Amino acid sequence: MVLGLDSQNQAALLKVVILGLISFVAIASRLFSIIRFESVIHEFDPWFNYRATKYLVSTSFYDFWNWFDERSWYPLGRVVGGTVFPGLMVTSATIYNILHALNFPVDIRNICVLLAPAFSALTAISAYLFTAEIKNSSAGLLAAAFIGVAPGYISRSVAGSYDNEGIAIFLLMFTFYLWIKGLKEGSAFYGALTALFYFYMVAAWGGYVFIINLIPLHAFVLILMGRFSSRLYVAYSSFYVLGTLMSMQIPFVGFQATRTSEHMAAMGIFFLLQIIAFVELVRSHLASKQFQILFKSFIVISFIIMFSALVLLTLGGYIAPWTGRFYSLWDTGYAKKYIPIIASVSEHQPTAWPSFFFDLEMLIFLFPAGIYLCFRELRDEHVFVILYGITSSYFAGVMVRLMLTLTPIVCVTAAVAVSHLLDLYLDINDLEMEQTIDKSESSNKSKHSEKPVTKKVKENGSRSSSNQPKIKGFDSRAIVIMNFFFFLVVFIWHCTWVTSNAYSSPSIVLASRNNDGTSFIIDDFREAYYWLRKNTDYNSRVMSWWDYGYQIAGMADRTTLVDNNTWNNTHIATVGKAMASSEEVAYQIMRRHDVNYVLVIFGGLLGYSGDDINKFLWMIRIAEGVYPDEVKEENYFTARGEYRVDDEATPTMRNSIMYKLSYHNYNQLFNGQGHDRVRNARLPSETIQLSTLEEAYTTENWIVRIYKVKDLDNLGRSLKQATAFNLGKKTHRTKNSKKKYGNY
Amino acid sequence: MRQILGIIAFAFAALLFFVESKSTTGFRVLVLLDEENDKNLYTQFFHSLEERDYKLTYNKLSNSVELFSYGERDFDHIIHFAPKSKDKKDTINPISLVNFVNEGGNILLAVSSELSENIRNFAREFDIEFDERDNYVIDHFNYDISDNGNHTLLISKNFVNNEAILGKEVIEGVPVLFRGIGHRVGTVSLLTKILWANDTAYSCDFELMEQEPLAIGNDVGLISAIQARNNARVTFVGSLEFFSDQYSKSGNKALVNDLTKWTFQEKGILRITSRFHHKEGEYEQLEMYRIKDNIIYNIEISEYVNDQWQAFNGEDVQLEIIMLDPHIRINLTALPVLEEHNARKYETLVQLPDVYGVFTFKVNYKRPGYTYIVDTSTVAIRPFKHNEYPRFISAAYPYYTGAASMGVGFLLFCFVWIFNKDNGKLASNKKKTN
Repeated sequence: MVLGLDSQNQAALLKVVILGLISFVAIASRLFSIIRFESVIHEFDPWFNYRATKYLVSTSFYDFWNWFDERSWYPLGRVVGGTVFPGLMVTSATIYNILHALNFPVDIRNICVLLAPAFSALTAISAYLFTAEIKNSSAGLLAAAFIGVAPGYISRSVAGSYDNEGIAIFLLMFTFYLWIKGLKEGSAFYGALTALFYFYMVAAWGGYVFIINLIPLHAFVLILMGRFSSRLYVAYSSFYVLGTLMSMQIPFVGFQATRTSEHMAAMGIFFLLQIIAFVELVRSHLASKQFQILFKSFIVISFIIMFSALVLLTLGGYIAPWTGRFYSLWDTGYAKKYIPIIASVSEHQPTAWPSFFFDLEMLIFLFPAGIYLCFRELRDEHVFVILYGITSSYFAGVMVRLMLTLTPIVCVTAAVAVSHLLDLYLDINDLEMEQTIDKSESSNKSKHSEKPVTKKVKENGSRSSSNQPKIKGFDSRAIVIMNFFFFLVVFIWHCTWVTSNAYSSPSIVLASRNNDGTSFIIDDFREAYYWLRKNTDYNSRVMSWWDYGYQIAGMADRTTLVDNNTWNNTHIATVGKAMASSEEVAYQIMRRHDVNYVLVIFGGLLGYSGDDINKFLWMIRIAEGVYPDEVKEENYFTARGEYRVDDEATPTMRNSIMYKLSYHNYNQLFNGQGHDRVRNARLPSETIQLSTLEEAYTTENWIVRIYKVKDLDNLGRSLKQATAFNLGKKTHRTKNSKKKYGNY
Repeated sequence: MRQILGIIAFAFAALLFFVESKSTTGFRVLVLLDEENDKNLYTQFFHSLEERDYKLTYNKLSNSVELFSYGERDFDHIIHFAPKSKDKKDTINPISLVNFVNEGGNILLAVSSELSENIRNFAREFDIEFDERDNYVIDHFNYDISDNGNHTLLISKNFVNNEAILGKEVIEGVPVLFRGIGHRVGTVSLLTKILWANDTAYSCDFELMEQEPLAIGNDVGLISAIQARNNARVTFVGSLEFFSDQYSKSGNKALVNDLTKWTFQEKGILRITSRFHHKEGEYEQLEMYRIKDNIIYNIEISEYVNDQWQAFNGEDVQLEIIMLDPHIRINLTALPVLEEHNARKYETLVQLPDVYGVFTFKVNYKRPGYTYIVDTSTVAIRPFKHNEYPRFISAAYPYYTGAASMGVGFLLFCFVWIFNKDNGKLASNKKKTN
């Protein structure tokens, strides 16, 4: 008796305390970035989310709902309300309003920065609940601990990483927990709760499609296994109907929920369940074998009819076929061929094998063991875990980004495996039980008498079943336990190391080490954006590659042509074409789009490899997809098929404004030939002359370079002539014009 | 204190009033001459300028003079009567003159046949090509009787028919006398020919006759002008004698008068006095409209005529609504001018396009001789809000009926379920007992 509680209450108290500690650890390990750098919004997409949240907080919800953003995608504008998943912004705005109602004047930025860590604590708790349904609460605690620190999840949820995924993984796990719970109990209440959290998920992340396909798949497999039950019927029907109706309330989803292929499986399973339920009903009233055959054939026929109806409707255009992003999940080469804009995003690349270990460490080895253990029990919820495991491991293999959906299930199955092992090796009851079994065996040796004992064992611990091997002897236990203890310690160590070194960089601020070991902060991005904010007109238009669109809008508060939303491929291709073509062509495009400034990222001086010259091939490819006659990828490669920037660079490459803007005045810095550290190349010695653009600002380490677009020449000359004149060169026209006249 | 300030302000205003010339841009004129005494050749011309309240500063080109101090122009106009200047180190060279134009200064440039390479280079930047040194425009059919036999003292009546530049009296008046060098006018759209030679003229060296002429017939420009994009005006005259006192008896005096008026921004000046757009029925200028909104756009333009601002009489002002391309291009209706009002209002009612995006309302009025009027205002055109769509449309009645019948059916079902449950149970119990 501790604290005057009996053992049950002690266990409950311990669970709460342990979960609290896990939550604390989950939050704390995500704060590296704040301690190392500062409380800033990271990367690219979070800047839009942050800007949208600020807009939501400063206006009303309906204004946000109808927000037409005229400061992005100039001059097209973007209907933000209809193209955004508002869940994240609404969540932070709600927290903000609650805190302010309670007179806590917290800045919205801090709420945004700390939202993902806060939700990771909730994720740990929902992983606990989910695993407790699969196995038991001790496995649940392990799962919570795993997901709290697993790098695969931390990568998207460190402080400052204010992105949809930060809250979506919690919603994913919690929805699945509610679904399992609803299925187990056959409860319409839990089914409705599942639908409610599904709605929240739809509002928060495009990955909701995973839920709306996985749950029907689960239901379908259960039907195939002959496990149709009224519980399944009630849980699924209430979830599907309410969930679909609610998901249609999100403008970005709207009628997609009934009209696109991604959602058709769920609808098909829903109809199938109705038919089966009807058949079951009829059969329970008419018990005749002939009718059974008739009904079975009825089910098969109706399934075929539904499927063919689906195909016909798709062909007829009533149901939208799968979108490109989903095709690229089946055919990994598809995006590269047809949608370069998707393939150009690094997080859409297939996963490299080491990153599985990097992100999940030993959990990835325990994952199959956990799946195996699920197969051994194979109750309805285990089928779910198996399906989730298989599908998400496939998706994680196809796209780096989807490692995120794999991580929770790996944590759950690994927890099942570890907890199973610990149950076996750590259970002291086993020692006592062995004696009782021996006793009972000695008293009457019939098999019949064993049953009560095993039952007792089940009731006691409900962990080991009778057919499992028993571990005898203290030494073998000690070795295994010590080993696993060591593994767990290394796991935590690895997770912390990965979090601190790989996933805590805000990417808008870079850090490197000097030779003497002191850290060196490279803050060029914010320097440039701040310059734009303070030195340019509020309405000036900045052209840059789309990667920097959200950051320019968020940090510099200037109008951009394209941004990370990438909704209009043609517009992006136009910017790509401008970057890839000569000054004269680019000037036409820039005038047409009222561009005032051009911003390029150049890493050659510092060795920052994520710069625009390295992304340039994607710009060319995307531009070529839309303007195949004007931009040709092969013109940027040397005869030997090399992509070069030095003396051997092709004329097209050297004439492109991307090349010119990157290397303008770079030779002067070296008093001769410049050296590009990223591509390890010596630049051509000739100086680069710009006539339609002029350098406006270059940051300390030359990472960001901003150029101003010149106006048309005042005297009606071409800008090239005007520049030459200002440099003191005479315009020679006498001879030419005389010749012209002579020919005339 | 306040009184002192008031007095100073009044004195300043009075000063402004007194020194204000007829020009809309300023009164400070720099006269560049090859020789100090040259100004005696053009006394009538300079006197007429002084009569129009210009303050003339004479300068021999070899004396250095700064056109700018602290980045600001020191003069508003330049009369460049020094075609012989050669020294490239002069403060006044092609680059500084181009800068002067880019900063809004006007130049009246007259050359003789002895023009230097410097001047030729300067003119070349405006796409005007003067003929070779010592060449003349020659016309064996249209020359003045006082000509010395070379047939270089031409008479021409080929004026540009543009009342923004030249007055009616000049266009319909007597011909002018011209002796000097010809030029060819390039293709730059900002250029306007003001006076050109007759069909029978050619520009050549009258002694050698070996070269191909630079231009023949009407292509020989005598006086041409350019109005730069910033509305600065530069006029090129191929003859210095054109301004001299001895020619003033012919039509030259009237032409020179109009030419200086135009070049020094006294004629052909337009300005926008106001621009306003608002929704039909509302009177507030918004930065964001909705697609298909009916808006009223109006703009007021006045013209500087006879030293005062009057209502502009043009009828062809257009409004363009542009996003990448013009979606709408519409004529603005000229409204009658109210009394005591010195600007004409142009107005139109237009339905915005059914496309959302950031649009530019642009009035782009560029007519030769007149100041360019480019007025843009950027507005966003947003799509419908969620509550701006029509409600209860007839096409949706089946859906309303469906939803209503579903609700009623569900209620009925609930009633039946609740009130029949016991009976059902009883019945099943009875069945079982049976």
